Amino acid sequence: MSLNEVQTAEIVKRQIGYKWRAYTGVFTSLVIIQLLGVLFSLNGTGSMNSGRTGYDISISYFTADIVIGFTIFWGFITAFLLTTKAYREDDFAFITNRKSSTFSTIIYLFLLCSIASITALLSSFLLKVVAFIFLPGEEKLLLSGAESPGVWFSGMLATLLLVFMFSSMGYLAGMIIQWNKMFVILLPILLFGSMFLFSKGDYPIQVQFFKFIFEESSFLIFTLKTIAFSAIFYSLATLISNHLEVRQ
Amino acid sequence: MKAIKCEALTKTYYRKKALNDLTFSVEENKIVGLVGRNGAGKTTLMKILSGFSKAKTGVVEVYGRRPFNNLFVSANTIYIDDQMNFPTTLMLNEILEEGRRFYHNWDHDLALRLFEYFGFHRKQHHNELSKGKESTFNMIVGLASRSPLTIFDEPTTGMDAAVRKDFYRALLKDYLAHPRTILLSTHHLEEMEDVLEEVVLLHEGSLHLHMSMDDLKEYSVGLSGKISEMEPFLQGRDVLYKQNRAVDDCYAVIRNDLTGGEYRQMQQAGIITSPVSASDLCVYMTSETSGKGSVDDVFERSADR
Amino acid sequence: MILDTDGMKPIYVQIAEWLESEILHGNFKADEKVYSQYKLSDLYNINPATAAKGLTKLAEEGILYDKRGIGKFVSPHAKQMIMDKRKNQTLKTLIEDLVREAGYLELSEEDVIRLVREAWKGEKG
Repeated sequence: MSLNEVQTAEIVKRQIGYKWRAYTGVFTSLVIIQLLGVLFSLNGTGSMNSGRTGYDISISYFTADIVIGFTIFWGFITAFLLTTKAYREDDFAFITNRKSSTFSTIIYLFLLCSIASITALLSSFLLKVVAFIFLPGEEKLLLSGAESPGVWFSGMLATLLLVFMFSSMGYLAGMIIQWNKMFVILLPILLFGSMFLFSKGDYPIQVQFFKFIFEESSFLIFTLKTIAFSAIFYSLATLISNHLEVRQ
Repeated sequence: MKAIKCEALTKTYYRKKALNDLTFSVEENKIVGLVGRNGAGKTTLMKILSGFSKAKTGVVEVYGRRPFNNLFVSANTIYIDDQMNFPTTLMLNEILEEGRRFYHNWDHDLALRLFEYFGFHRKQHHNELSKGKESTFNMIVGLASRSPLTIFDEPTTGMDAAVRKDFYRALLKDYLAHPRTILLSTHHLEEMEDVLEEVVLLHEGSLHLHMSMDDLKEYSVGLSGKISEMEPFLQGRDVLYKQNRAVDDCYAVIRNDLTGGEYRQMQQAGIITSPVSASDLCVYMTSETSGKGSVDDVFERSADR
Repeated sequence: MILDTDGMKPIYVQIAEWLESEILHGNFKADEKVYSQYKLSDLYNINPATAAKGLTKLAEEGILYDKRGIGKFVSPHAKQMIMDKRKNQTLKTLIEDLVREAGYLELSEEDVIRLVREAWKGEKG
C-alpha cells in the first residue's frame, strides 16, 4: 500500500468542512440565544418621555445591543465546549494532528462568529418590526436610524471582532482545563484573584481591560487590539493543545 | 522500511507501567495479531502507534516517523476500536462520506457494499447502534480506509459468530487484493489464527514472544499421562505449563523439540501427545508468572475456612 | 479438502499434501502452473504466507519449480516423485504404526499379514 504525504492545509480544509457539517448544534444554540436576546430587548434599551398638552411622546431605542451581548456570551461558551474531550475525539476519528485540529477549529469559529455577528445585527431589524407591531401605543412611528451601509458594515465587523475575541478566551480557558482538570477550580480563583490584586486606583483590572477595548475611538486601533488579543489567546491554546493526549 | 518499530518503549499511567521496555518491529504488509491478557498493554501500545498518546521513554516509529502529533502517520494509519467517537449529528452514510474526503486510499464502493451486506440503513446514527452493529460499522470504516497501517483493537466486540466469520473473511480478501500492514488485537485468537501471519504476545507490558503463526503452532506440544510416567520426560525440559488432573493424571505443555526416538519412547510409556493451539499456548505462557495460581485456588482457600 | 486446523499437522503441510494429491489425480499436469499463494490463501481462508510456505516446501523437494515472476510450475517428474515419497514415507510410517498397534494387541506377524491380505482383497477384488 503506497504511503500518502499530506499537506497541513489540505487536512485543515477537510476538517473545517467536517466540523461545518457535523456540529450543527451550534447553530441551534445561536438561534435560541439570539431570539432570547431579541425578547429581552423588547423592553427598549433606552427611552425618553415627554408630555405636552394633548399628547405624550415616548421615544424608545430598540437596538441589538443585548443580542450582541448574548452573542458574545455564546461565542465564549461555544469555543469552550469545542475543547471538550468528545469534540476533540471527533476530530481524531479521521486524519489530523493537534495543529490541524486547532487551526481548523479556529477558522471554523471565525466563520461561526461571522455568521453570528451578521444575524446579531440583522436582529435589530427584526426587533424593530416586532416592536412596531406588538408593542402598545396609538400612533407609532418607525425610524430606522442613520444606518448607511458603511456604518452597518463597520458595526458588523466590530461585532465579529468582539465575538471572535471572546471565543478565543473561551477556547483558551477550555484548553487550560483540558490540560489539567485542577484548573476548573484554579482558573476562576486566579481570574478573580488577579482582579483584586492588580487593580490600580479606582478601576479594577477587568474594567481597565474592557475600557481598553471598548473605549477605543479609532476603529483601526480597535481592530488591531482585538485581533492582537485573539491571536495571543489562540496561540496559547494551540501551544497547550500540542501536548494533549487524545483517547488515553 | 519497517511499518512499526519500537525500542525500549515505556509508558506509565499513574506510576504503573503500562508498557515496560518493549522492543519489537513489524515488517510491511503483514497481518499481525497482538495478544495478551487484559491489561497486558495492548491498547496502550496501539494508541501510541496511532499517535493518540505519547510514550514516556524509548523510540517508537511508524513508517520511520514518530507517531505522536504527526500528520503523516495520522494520514497513513487508522485506529479502530469499540469506543470510536463519531459526531452524533452525522448519519452513518455521512460518516462514510467524511471518510472518503479524508483518506486518500478510501474505497467508497467497498464501504457501501459492506454497508448494504451487513444491513445498515443510511439514516441511522452511530450512537443508536447496538454494540455488535457498532463494531461492524467501525470495521467497515477500518477496511474501507485502506490505510497502510490499519490497527484494529478488539474489532469483534459484540459481534455474533456469523459476523465475526464474515469479518475475518472480508479482512483476508481485502488484504489479498490490497496488501497492507494490519495490527489486530483479539480475544478470539483461535478463530482467526489461520488469517494471521505473526503473533506478538505481550505480558505485563513487556514482549513475551514474537514469531510467525506457523512457528507458534509448532512451538509446543501437549503431553498427558500418569504423573509417574511423565516425570522422567519432563526432567530438564522447558515446561511451559503443568496441571495435575484426576488422581494421578497430569497434563503438561513443553517446547516441541522432541526427536522421533523420544516420541516413540513416550508412546510406549503410554503418554499421549497432542497439539496445543496458539490461543491456549498464549494463555498458558502468560499465566505462570502471576504467582496467584489458578482460579481453582480461590475456591479451595474459601472452602478451607 | 477441509483443513484440519486443530490437528498435529501444520496447515502449510496440509496445503502441500493437497497440491500433491491434485498432481497425482492429474488436476495439475507436468509443466503446468499451480495455484499462487494468493489463490490458495483465498481458497482455504489462510494467510498467504502460510500458503507460500506450502509451495516452498514442494519447490524445495523438487516437485515444483520456480519461474521467476510468473509462479510455480509442476516438475516433469513430479508425479513419480510424489508416489516414491508417499511409498517411502507415508506408507512406511503407517506400517510402523500398524506393527506397533499389533504389538499392543498381541497379534503375530502372520495375523497382521492375513489382515493386510483380507483388506487388499476387499479393496481390489
